[in-house]
Amino acid sequence: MYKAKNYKDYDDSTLIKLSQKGDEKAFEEILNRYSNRIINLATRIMGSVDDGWDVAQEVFVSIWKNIKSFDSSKNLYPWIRKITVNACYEELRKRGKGLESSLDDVEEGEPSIDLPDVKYSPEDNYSKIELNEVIEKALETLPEHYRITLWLRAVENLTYEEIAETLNINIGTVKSRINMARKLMRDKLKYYLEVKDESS
Amino acid sequence: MNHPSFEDISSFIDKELPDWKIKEIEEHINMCPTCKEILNDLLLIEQGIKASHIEFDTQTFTMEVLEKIRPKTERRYNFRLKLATIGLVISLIFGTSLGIVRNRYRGNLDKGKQLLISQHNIISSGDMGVIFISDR
Repeated sequence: MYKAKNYKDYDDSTLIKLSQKGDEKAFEEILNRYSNRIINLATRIMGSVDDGWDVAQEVFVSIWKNIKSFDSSKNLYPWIRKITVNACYEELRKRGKGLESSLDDVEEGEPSIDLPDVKYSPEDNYSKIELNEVIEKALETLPEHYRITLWLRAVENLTYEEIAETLNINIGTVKSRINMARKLMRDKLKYYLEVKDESS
Repeated sequence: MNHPSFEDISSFIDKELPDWKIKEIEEHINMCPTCKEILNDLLLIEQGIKASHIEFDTQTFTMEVLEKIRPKTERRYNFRLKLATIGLVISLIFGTSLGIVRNRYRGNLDKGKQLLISQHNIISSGDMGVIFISDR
C-alpha cells in the first residue's frame, strides 16, 4: 500500500501509521524532519547543547515507545514539542535546578533576579561584533521561563494560545512573559541597538 | 492617540491585538519616531533570536536514536549471529587446512608404502595403513 513512494514523500500521518506498525524507516524520516528543531528547543531550555542533545534523544526514544498511543489524525510536531518541553522541565527538576518560578505563576512586574550584563569591551568596534551573537548571548542570560516563551514565539512562531497550551499556562502569563522578556532583552542590548541606529 | 504602551507594541509585533488596535498603533508608529525606535529594536531582537537557531548534525543524532530504539534482544541476537558466523568461518578455514595437510601426508605415506613394497616382501597388512614386512 505504501511501498511505491519514498519515505520523504509521505506526510506525517502516514509516517506515524507506518511507525505504529514498527517500520523503523518511517520513524527515521520523522527524525530527519524534526530532530533539528527539537534539539534546538531542548538546547534553549536546558541551557547547553550537550544536555539539549541528550534530552532530545530521550524524547525520540520515548516517542517510538509510545507511538501506538498517538492519534495519527492529529498534528505530530506539536505533540513532539510538548513532550520535549515536559522532558526538559522534568530533567531540570531532577537535577534540582527547577524553574525560576512555577509554570503556573503569573509573572507581573520586574523579575526578582538580577541579570548579568552582556559582556563587551568598550574598545570593541561595533562593526566587529555580530549583533546576532550578542542577541543570542543576551537570550542566554534571560530567566528560563522568559527565554523559552520568547523562543517559542520568535523561532517556533507559535501564537500566544499555542504557547499557553505547550507550557500549560494561561494566555495572560504568556503575554506578560513575552513583554517582560522583550523589555529585558532591549535593556541588555541598549548599547548595541543605539550603535546600530547610529551606524544605519 | 497617546503613545501605545510597550506591551501594546510587543503584542502589535505578534499580531495579538484586535484589528482596529493594530491599525491605530500602525498609524501612530508611522508618525512617532520614539515608538518607531522601540518597534525597530524589538524587530531586530526578533531577527537575532531567529538567527540563533543552530544547525545540528542530525545524521549522527538519528543514528544514535535508532541504535537506542532497537530492542536489546535483537542487538544480542545480532551479536550471537556475528559470533556464530565468525566461528563457522574459522572452522571452515581450519578444517580445510587440516584436510590439505592430511591429504599431503597420505600422499607421502602411499609413496613410502609403494617404495617399501617394491623393496620388501609383505608378510601381512593391518589396519590404519600399517604393513608387516620382511626383507627380500
